Amino acid sequence: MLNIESSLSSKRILIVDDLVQARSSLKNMMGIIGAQSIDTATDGREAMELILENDYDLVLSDYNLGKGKDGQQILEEARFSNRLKATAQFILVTGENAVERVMGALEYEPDAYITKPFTLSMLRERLKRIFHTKEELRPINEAIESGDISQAIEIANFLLESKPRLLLPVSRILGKLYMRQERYEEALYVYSQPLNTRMVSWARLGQAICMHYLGDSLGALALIRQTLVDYPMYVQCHDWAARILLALGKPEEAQEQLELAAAISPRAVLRQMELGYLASQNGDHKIAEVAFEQSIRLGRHSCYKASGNYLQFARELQHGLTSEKTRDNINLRNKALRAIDELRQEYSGHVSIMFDTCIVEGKTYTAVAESDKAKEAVDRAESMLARIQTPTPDQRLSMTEAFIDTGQHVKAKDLMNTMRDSKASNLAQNALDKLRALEDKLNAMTIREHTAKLNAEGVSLYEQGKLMEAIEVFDQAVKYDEVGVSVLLNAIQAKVSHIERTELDIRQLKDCYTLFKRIGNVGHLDERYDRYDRLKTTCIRLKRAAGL
Amino acid sequence: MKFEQLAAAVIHDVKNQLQSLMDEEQLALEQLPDQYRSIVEPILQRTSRLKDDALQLVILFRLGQNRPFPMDDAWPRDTANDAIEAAAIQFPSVKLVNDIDEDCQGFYNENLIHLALMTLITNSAQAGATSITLKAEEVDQDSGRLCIQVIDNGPGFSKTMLETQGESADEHSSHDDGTGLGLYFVKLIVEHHKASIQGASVVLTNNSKKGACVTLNLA
Repeated sequence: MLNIESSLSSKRILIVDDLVQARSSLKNMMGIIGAQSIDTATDGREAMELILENDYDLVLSDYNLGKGKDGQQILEEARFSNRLKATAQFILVTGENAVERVMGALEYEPDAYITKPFTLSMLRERLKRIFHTKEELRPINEAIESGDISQAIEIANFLLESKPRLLLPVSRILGKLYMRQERYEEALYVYSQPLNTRMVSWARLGQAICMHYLGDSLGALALIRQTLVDYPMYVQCHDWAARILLALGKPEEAQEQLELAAAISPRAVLRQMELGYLASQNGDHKIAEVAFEQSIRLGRHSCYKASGNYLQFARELQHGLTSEKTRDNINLRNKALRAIDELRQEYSGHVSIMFDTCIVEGKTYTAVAESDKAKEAVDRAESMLARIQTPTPDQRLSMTEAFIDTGQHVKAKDLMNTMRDSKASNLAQNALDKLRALEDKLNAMTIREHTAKLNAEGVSLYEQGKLMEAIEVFDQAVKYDEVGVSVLLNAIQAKVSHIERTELDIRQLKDCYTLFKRIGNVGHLDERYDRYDRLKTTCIRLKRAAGL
Repeated sequence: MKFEQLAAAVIHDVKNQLQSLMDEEQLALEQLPDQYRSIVEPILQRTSRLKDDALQLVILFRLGQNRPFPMDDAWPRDTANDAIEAAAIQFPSVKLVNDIDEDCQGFYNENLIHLALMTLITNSAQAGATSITLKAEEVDQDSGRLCIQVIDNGPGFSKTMLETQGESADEHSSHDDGTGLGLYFVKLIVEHHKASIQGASVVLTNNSKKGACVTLNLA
């Protein structure tokens, strides 16, 4: 067994614990057993700053760090940002009740864990074992570090044969390496080996993942559910159940699994983001809103900070916004605008993100009927788009929609024409679908505006007593299927007045009946009912008078 | 918050507070002049016992909820060392020997087995043993099958105890004057390992000359 004192003396060490007593106690212990270069951090934020600045050989982090990130998240971020070499060690210090969660991690697992409480001699013994194992695994980790995965696999297989005591740690690494190379059959075999004699939760999850990729998703799901019966707090099982359910075309059930995972481990940014996007896709905007709000909060000081979280959060809030000036509505509006402001401050130099920001801001103002501010935001988006060298189809589509929302139909039409003319053949199917939907939206809006104009003109002519001219204008309006009941009643009114005042014009009378047919039934409670009923009675009388 | 969660949180806090108290007491012992140590030592012993009791409560609570304790590679020599270190505080006059090879390896929940060993050492010491030896042997290296023994020089088990292997309802004690709760707790722990290790058992025997031997078969 190696000499822990001499081994520790050359190592750069980071200790992370939010409790001052625990931190200094661990630092003292490490000093006594030979550590010479020790930094300490009180929380995840400080720990990440130090990890980004320095090359640590060993990180000893408490799992539970109070309000901020937990130890597992520090490990994930450190490995995600490639700030920890494969040969460096990350050891989680944990209470007995969190061991289950720490041990189960399959993707970003710690090198080891130490359960609290421990004495100096316990720590020394544990570290000796950990270092000894890490030393034995060194050839694999060095091959991984140099990017030679095939070589790492070869070494791992050799170690499995020659050192059966390393079955668990080597199987764990080897399973992952095979999966990286999409060699799922081999990975499945590797995970099944320890399970022949031991119940190892991560090996069962590994098996399930392989089964899923090999096409047996239902079998994988069954295995995960069985594992969850034994280990209900095994959060990664819920994550994978969600992924598999999604692949099976069951997004609502997938969302349920992610919600369970987020309830067990609410501080994982990536999981909250995944839940947010899935809930949004499922139309569950309330859950999506909460998930993206969490993603923003948790991501603020992490490598997972993403502009998309702010944008999605504001978009989810828009679903609850109305033009009413209620307290709740104002709060929602302000919440969305605060997120947009923060986004603007954090990403001010990024033109594309600023474009998206302006678009979302415009939509927020449109939703609360603040049309001037909406237009200002859309104008800013337009100038941002001009600064983007090659706008994506999505950006152009967003711009088009924003133009339509703010009544800038000519600009919208121009942009749509540009898209159709220049790159039509390159547009993906979903972009083409969106373009068609926007064209329909624009057409519908244009028609509504046009018929509203005709209606106003017809009413004016009617009031001036120019009945035939009014009838002509209303006839133009009612040619559009989109016109409403009021316009149809106005058209009937003009024709009835004309018949009563001048002559029994059969064609006009028949037109009235056609228009009544289009109106259908108007209920007693409808405010237009009296007018409808009066006109209908008059028409029946005129019909009798005409002998029809 | 559910009652069970609240109770679990309180028990955990009690355990952690007791650990802190122990740390403080140990610090005080290091700094006190020799003549005062004998006054503080019994306090440390009682605190250590209380902490073990609290730990037992935590474990029993979780076992009662059928929540599994994850198993992993473990080294009996280290587990025995931890148990001996903790027991030495409570029984300073008892000779505790770790006779386990450094390379001996097993697959079990370290916290649970640590507590089982602590309990067996306590039983032996309370029964009057003055020397307790811990041994372990790998039965099957590939599967991690293992047996761990706690051997003492005390009065040994009664005939009834040996016949029933501690299974009789009114007599769970490993030694005649105990309450029986300790052995019952050890059996619960070993029973728990059955989910992962088939054939796990506790065997009570007497040594050929003097004393008792409890064997934990994690095999």
